[in-house]
Amino acid sequence: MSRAGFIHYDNTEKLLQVGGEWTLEHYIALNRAIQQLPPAPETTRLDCSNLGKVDFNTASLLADYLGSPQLDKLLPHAQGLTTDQRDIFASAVQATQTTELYTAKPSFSAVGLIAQLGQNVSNQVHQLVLLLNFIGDLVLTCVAVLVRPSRWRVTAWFYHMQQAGLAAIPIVSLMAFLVGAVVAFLGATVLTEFGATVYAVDLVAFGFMRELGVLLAAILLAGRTASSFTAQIGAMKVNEELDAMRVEQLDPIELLVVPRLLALLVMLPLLGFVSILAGLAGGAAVAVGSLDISWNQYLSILNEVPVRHFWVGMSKAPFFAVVIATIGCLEGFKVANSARSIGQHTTSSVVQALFAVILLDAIAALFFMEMNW
Amino acid sequence: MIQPAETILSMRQISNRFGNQMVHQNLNLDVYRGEIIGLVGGSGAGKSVLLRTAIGLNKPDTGEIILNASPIGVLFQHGALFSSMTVAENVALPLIEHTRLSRAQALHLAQIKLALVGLNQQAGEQYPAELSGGMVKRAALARALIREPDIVFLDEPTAGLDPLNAAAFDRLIKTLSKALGLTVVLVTHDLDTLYAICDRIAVLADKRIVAVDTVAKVVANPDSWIQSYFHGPRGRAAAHAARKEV
Ligand SMILES: Nc1ncnc2c1ncn2[C@@H]1O[C@H](COP(=O)(O)OP(=O)(O)OP(=O)(O)O)[C@@H](O)[C@H]1O
Ligand SMILES: [Mg+2]
Repeated sequence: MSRAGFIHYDNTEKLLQVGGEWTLEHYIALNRAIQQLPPAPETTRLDCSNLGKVDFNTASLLADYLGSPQLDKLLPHAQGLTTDQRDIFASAVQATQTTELYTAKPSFSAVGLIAQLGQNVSNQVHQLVLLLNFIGDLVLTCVAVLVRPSRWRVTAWFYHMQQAGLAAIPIVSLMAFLVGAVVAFLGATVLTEFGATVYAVDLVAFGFMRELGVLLAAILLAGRTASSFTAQIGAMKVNEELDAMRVEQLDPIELLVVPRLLALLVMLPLLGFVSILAGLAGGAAVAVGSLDISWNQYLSILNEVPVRHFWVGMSKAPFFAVVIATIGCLEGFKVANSARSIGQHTTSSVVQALFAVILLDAIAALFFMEMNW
Repeated sequence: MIQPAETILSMRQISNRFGNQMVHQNLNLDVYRGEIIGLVGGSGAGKSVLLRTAIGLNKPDTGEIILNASPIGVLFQHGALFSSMTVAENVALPLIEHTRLSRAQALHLAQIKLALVGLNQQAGEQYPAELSGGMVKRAALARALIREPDIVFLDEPTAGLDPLNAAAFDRLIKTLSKALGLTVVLVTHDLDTLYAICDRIAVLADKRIVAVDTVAKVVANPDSWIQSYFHGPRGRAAAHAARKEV
């Protein structure tokens, strides 16, 4: 029953007729009709006697067409216009006065590309400065807290040890066990050709003690814990909780970062150790199960591995812990105040933490090799 | 004011509970087409929950809701603008998704809607996180109105606005309601708004609607909570101001 909206212009009478239902469903048709009309007509009269319902969207269409000043002039003596309709047109006139036609921005240009490059470089520098700043702050706070037992946040510390450490033991063990089995199979495949299948056990033992045990645990924490640190702190930032802390003269680094860092410092070596055991177990399962190496033989090969390899591996754990906790927390602080930003920084935190852990491991491997340890 | 008889929203015997906390118990409310109805009640009385129930976002434990309107517009208490889009894109989104308008047309209409609620082009190009609290409210109102809905639900629209803008907001809602036949369900603590634009007022207390009538009649209701609400110092000042204006 709703009559479609129409608009008609009589050039000789300089009369603009509008009528029918001027509602959102007829917007596209009306817009098309208006484009057929002569642009910027010198209308002197407006006839609205057949006009039904007018909504704000279509009213602004007319205002755009005639220009707000002209429509404003026509409104007081428009034919057949009810007060309600006049109010709508009047608000449309007011609103369009301050609005320019929407124009899409150009999305690509060579200058823009160079500007973007410069922006990226200065951004990266800024990020580096932030990181160094944060590490400095963190070290100072850590020292200040450690010398004063009254400021130890034991509850938070235990909580994060539980969340980041103990809760990760099952997944770390499973992962290390599987990787241990894979390495044993791999070793067996290559070494059987030389008739040296027994050395597959050495491969697993050396590999897990020196490198894989702690590295696997660190990679898992980089994915599991760095992201959760970022999301936790980021959500607090969005909720203005960090600002509230500062107002209350509480130090977010002391309250939030130090317990997390200390928790990882304790738990990552522990997880590394669990991971080594699990990896060795995985190797043993393959060796005993399908390589015809007896359990006693396996143990005696393990016994001959010099223990310094174990310590070389474990010595990396605290460094990984610092890197993961620092990156996770710092990314949390970088969150701007929106939900989207939490997502971006969580991703970035995981990527950075993984990269940093692997880079650090590579540097350590070079160093230990040069030192002949 | 003559009351149009057609109900657009009818809530019958609504009960809501969270855990063992009862928020509503056997609550009844009718809203008529074209009216502006104000919902008042103390903080935590369950006004926002009632709005969410009416819209269908919250399923009541018992009771029946009939809402004869589509589309509907909602202004959430905290704005709920989509943080990944600019303000103008937020407002244009319903048009882009639900009509065949082109993106440019939709954005243009969005900018005009924003101007209507008093936000300029620059604000339209910003992200919600960059706006002040009051600006978020206005942008959210623009989004609620963009599809010309039959009914809008406004949760504390004027909280966080300066008095001038709050008054302009009131006038805007009144104009739209009268001219478009828009039904407005309005939660507010702003007594000036209640006196200035509401056709009827519903009072939520004791887990139910204890009174629903014109301002004058509700104010005269002997219920003790209503008496202290409308006859406290702020209530008296607003009533005084409203009388002066008439
Ligand atoms: N998701 C939820 N889970 C548990 N309890 C809730 C939930 N949402 C609301 N409540 C409870 O329901 C009650 C009513 O909340 P509601 O947000 O509706 O209050 P309100 O009347 O809007 O108050 P205000 O004026 O402060 O906005 C409160 O006591 C609140 O604790
Ligand atoms: Mg509320």
